[in-house]
Amino acid sequence: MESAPRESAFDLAEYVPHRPPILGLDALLVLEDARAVARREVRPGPDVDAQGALWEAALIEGIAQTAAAMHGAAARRRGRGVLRGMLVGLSRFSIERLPKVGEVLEYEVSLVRELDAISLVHGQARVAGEVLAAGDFQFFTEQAGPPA
Amino acid sequence: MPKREEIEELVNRIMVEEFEVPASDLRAEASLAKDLDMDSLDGVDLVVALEKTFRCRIPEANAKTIRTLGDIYDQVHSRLSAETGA
Repeated sequence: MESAPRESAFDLAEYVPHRPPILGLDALLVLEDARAVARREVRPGPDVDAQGALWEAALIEGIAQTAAAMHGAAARRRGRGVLRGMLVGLSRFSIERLPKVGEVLEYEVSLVRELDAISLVHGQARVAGEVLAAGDFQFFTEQAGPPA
Repeated sequence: MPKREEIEELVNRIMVEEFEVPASDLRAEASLAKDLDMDSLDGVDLVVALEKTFRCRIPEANAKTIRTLGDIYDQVHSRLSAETGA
């Protein structure tokens, strides 16, 4: 039996620009400069197939949005202001299985390296400790707004 | 600290195994972008691979100066020398 979902420690709308139905997170649990953890319960919806499994693209997008929150929080702490970013690469990525309706996903990302506007982030999706997917994500980020 | 030849051999192995660069293309004057078809996304992967292989840190300012395979050899050699005081 899965444990009860933890409450969000941060205001999602403040750290992630996405809104429903594209928003793929329910809560942000951890936000550090080089690490973030988010949660999402899989419910019936536009990103779930007829067998009740979350789409692969939605799984990837959830990890990417968690990374967006991490980047945003780090930028804010450094006084850099709003960042604009996009997922531009994916490597060494594998999916063991897709999560199903009723399961609670935990996304965890950690910053591996930054070089200029490109950052390499390791991302993972888990359900009750079981790793469903993991791999390396590359993001392009640039400052979109004035420094904070 | 590894010898210069050992550094070059390890760097070349990274280029072949991680970036699928044909061994025949590996020469010191080869441009990463023009001759080896590498882009900015490869750049960060390359730095990570070098740091992991050689257990050194390549500062961003240094990494941004790398244009050729020879530059990589020089950077790694320089970083290892700096970190071991050699």
